[in-house]
Amino acid sequence: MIDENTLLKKKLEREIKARRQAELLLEEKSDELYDTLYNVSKSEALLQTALSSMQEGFLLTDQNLKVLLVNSQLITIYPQYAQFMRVGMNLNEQFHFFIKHPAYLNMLEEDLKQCSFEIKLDNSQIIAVHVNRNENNIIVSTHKDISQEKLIISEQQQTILKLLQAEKMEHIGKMASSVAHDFNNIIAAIKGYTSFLKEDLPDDASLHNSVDKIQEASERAQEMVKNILRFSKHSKPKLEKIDIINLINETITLLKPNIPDNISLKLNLINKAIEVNANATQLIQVFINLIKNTINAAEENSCKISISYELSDQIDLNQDSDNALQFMPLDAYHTSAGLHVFNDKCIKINYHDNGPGMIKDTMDHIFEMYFTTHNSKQGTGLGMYSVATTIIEHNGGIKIYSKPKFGTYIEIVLPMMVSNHTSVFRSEFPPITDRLYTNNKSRILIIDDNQEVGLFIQQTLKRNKVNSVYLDSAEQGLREILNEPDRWRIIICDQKMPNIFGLQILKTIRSQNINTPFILTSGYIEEYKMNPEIELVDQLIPKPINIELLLKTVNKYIK
Amino acid sequence: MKGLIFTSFLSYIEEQFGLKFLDQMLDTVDVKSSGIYTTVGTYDHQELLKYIVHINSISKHEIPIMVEDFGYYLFTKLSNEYPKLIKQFDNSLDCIYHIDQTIHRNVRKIHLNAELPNMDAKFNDTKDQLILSYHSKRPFMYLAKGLIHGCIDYYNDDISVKMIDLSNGNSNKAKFILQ
Repeated sequence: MIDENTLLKKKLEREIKARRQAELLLEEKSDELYDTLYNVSKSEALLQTALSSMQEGFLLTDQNLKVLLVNSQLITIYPQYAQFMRVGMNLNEQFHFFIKHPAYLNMLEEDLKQCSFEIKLDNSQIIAVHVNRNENNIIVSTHKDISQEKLIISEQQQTILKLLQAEKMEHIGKMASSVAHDFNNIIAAIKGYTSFLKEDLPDDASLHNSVDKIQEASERAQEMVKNILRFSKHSKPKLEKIDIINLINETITLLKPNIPDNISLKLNLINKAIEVNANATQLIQVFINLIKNTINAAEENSCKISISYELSDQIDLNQDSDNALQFMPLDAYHTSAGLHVFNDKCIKINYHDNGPGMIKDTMDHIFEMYFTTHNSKQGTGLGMYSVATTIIEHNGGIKIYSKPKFGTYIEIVLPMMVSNHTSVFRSEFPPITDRLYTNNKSRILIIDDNQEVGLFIQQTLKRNKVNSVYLDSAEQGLREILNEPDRWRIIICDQKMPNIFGLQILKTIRSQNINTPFILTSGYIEEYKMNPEIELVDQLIPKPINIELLLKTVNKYIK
Repeated sequence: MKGLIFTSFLSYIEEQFGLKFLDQMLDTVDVKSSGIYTTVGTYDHQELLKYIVHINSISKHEIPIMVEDFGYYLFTKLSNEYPKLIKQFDNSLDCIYHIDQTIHRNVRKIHLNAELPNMDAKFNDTKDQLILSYHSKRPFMYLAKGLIHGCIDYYNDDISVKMIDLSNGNSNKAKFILQ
């Protein structure tokens, strides 16, 4: 029989053995604990490195807003609150702009997991804050000083508004100028015919008095138009030698911040200087308008824009280009403006987007002033009008191919420096009439798109026994000269006509060695005085036309 | 299985059957640990099963009843050892409901290799009935039942416990309905 003492002794022995076992186990655990602590301190150092390399300020608090972790950037952002941003401190009322922010309070009330908001500090610093709350109510927030970014965005918006305003003002000016020009022509007719009337009137004082009143009124009207023109006159862009490849690259750099993510750009522009005689500001606006149109048309859909160029000694925009047909179907719609045939060194810039493309109706009106397919916020209807006008003013040509679902392909041709091209114009806009006001013996050619002015000049000459031919189409006028260069003894030509200007006609015929005396009439004479081609003009006659000057000039050359 | 279960079991045997019975059991049953247990150690649960089978063979005590009774005893022991863990709950249903989410979670943090049974507790809409699904690798559903009873008595709650055996005789899977 085992007595109680023996049992107790055995129990005690078991317990001593268990204690030894526990000691050994604890020793092992202590080694594990040391390793664990070592790893923890290594992780802590890594965490600190990560935190201090963050660009944003980092703040971690518990649900009672006790600070558990911060990084040094946070103190840089809120230096005035540094004393509250130490581990173990509680964020109190001093930090009200964060802990009392409506978005933060809403996150707590609505039991949301995260929120973002901006804090505006007293020193006008703006801090973007993003807060995350985990299931244990640990609140992690990042803080970023965005004052500088905000300032830049605000400045950019101001600049864009100013540009838009300037663009609007420029177009209003152009419109006023265009209206004033039309008035000038009407006044010219009134003045001219009044002078005929005065000559033909019998010596009846009362009738002469009425005619004088008409003449005085038309003089005043002419003065008013002059004032309007002076006010709205946009200075003729100064052309200079520019590197167009560099200009396109600069335009892209300028636009890049405003190009949304759905638009991708592929530039195939070998870094080689290609010099053209151009106005950089206007050409930049051309490319901005093209890219903006693509962005607006693409809406949210992804779209690729590619821009490339080619150099050539001969380009005929009347022919479909091989490049265009790589991207566009054979039955794509096309339209064009400016010069079409280039027989000298020129650059052709190819712009392609795989956006939604255009319907025929849009293509038919694309170059018209105030034509837009967008709502009033997106488009003014001046973008493509301005593109075409600029290209024409640069003695270039533009051709657009497009079809719905196939995108749009645009070719812009500009003469390179030392240009001496022969260009034959083809218009996509048919003239209103192609009437020939003539008899076969006439050797003076009058070209003016405004019939009142044209017929008035013809009438004035006729009253002085000089027969003439009047054409109201610039294109037809140019064809007539090129077809029968020896027929004409004097050419009286208006400067500003649709699609082709008087000076372009002059330049073309002179390049063909047609040296017929050329009288240029214009309501914008001041604008063209700086134009180098003006030296080729034999006589400039401002509008409204001074009959005496006209007759004197015609007499001079007819002899 | 954690050493605390074994040290508690030996205390239970000593209290229920006396030191002499415990001594004989430890001398008779051949286990790897030789009956030396410490709360910080981990031991094979088969050793506990060998003791239970041994007691059943000499005392004719029903195994399920004995294991359930030990479960009840174990809860008292645990509540003495870890009062903080138990006192955070207001009643037994809350305590049982949070066993897996709170207690087991904390156990896993301290003992990375602990093999704990799966406990899935769900309240009904009125929160007066709790259904606890128990599933373990080990045949201790009666131990769970005893623990549940121990918990209910600890909080002095008036709650009935119905156990549905889903184990096919393996005593490792059951559903408890507490209301």
